[in-house]
Amino acid sequence: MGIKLNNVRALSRVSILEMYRRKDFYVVLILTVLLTLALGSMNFFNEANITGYVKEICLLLIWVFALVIAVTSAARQIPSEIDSRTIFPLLAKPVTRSEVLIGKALGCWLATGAALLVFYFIFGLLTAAREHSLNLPLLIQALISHWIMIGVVISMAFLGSVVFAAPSSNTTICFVVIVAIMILGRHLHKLALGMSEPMRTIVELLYFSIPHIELFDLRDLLVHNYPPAPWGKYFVLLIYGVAYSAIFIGAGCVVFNHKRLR
Amino acid sequence: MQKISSGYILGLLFVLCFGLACYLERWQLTTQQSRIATGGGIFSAILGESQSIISALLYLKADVYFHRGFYPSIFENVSSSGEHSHLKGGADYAEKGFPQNGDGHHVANASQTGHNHEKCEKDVSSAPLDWIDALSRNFYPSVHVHANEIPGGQKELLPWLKLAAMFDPHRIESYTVAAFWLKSLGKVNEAEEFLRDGLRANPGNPEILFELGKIYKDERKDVARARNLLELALTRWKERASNESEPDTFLLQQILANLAQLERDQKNYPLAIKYFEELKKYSPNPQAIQKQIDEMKVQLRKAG
Repeated sequence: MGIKLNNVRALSRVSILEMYRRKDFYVVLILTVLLTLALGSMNFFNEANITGYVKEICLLLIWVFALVIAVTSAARQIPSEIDSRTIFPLLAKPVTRSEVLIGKALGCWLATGAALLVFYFIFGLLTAAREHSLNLPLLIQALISHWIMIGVVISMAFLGSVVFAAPSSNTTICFVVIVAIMILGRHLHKLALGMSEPMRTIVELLYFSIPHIELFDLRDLLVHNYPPAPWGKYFVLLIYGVAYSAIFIGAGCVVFNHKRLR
Repeated sequence: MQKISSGYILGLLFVLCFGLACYLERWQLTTQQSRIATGGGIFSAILGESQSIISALLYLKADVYFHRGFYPSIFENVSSSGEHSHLKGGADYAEKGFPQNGDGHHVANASQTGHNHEKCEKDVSSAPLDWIDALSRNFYPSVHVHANEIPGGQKELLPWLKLAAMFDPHRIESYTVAAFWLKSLGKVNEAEEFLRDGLRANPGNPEILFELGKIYKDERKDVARARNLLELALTRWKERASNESEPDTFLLQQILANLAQLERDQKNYPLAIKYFEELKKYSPNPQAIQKQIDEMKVQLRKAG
């Protein structure tokens, strides 16, 4: 069962166009810019160049909105094709189910990546304007790691979209899982050490099997003006993210190939 | 059906508007009175009791900024040994005569004790548990640096402290800690203004009065006002302490020490000795205070 790159590319282009026809991105972009500018214009004790809080809130908005765009768009791609029955004419063409899934996931990922590029460009402009300096290597690291993390999230949502019945349940489950990993992921092993068997082994298994998307969160380094992360470790992180995306997409393809479409 | 003239309708509308205006006037007065009573504004109207939780989180955020993002979570605190736990830090300060502010907030300790890095309770240094833990340490602040150790780093704390005070005007630490850092940035006017905001929301609060007194004593060199404020702080502390089972004796020590120093500098030795004698009862180092009292007694004898 081979994957034709031309088919994947064509399907991803359709997916990108569909996402840009929707107005979600423009709304959240304007909202982020307005909120950040409003916060940036606040006066705290006549002290100029206080940037930490503006950066923190701007990055939080970017993370929340990017996640919302990624999960909601990825979760509805396949179910909407099935509901509107456009999946049948699509599959009647020389396109495999795996190509459809990969193409659509790639489209979502690229479209969200373009949105992230705009978000981080605005963040960079804002930081440079207030701090009169810009930690460009770290900003690039934060952007790419965020994009790779979004890739993991999108592939997780695509797997969910072929497993769960409705996009709403898939979206909710994805958000719960993502928030739980972001908050608890890093600490699961520490928690496991304080538990008794068999819970300890179960929590340890969970710790080593979940995708640690919290690792891709470089916001604290950006907010507190730390130097960039070591590039060697950073590339290991990117490979880790790509591997998890591949696992989820692969599992999604397997499930989708065996799924009965009505 | 009889036709109703437009005059009647206008009259009815006028009565309705007048009645509504009277009702709204009364409602506005009641709201203003309740605002004055609670010290809250728009936040208290919208958020109710949850504003104090938000304020606590914002205050904690200031503490995170003080440690430049190096902030062990509750999981580190639970798993680490007691020697380095978050609350133990507060206890350490208490043992050494430093304040224990209950919540163990470091940013407050820093303002009151001249926090240094060697004693920081956030120094959680444990070996990575696994390869994921080891890898993750490259992507979040895992090196402990304080905001005041980098130029102008303190100013990043200020927005969170001001927001904490906005959400809960009765959180006294927000005012006193912000005033400390503002003074360290040379913004004495802003520090005084913010403390006065705090005093308006918390009339007669001894902590805020003490901080104001310190501004007049150390920054403005206005002895008369500093004395008045510190004496008022002492009076208010005593009033408050009479209703408390465990009064905050650290604040009392600070007030007495500053009053005693002020009187000693003004060569008003009898009053200075009186304050030092009172301070000696609470101080963890009474010998040093007795030494100062003896020196002043010698000065008094010399003056004859």
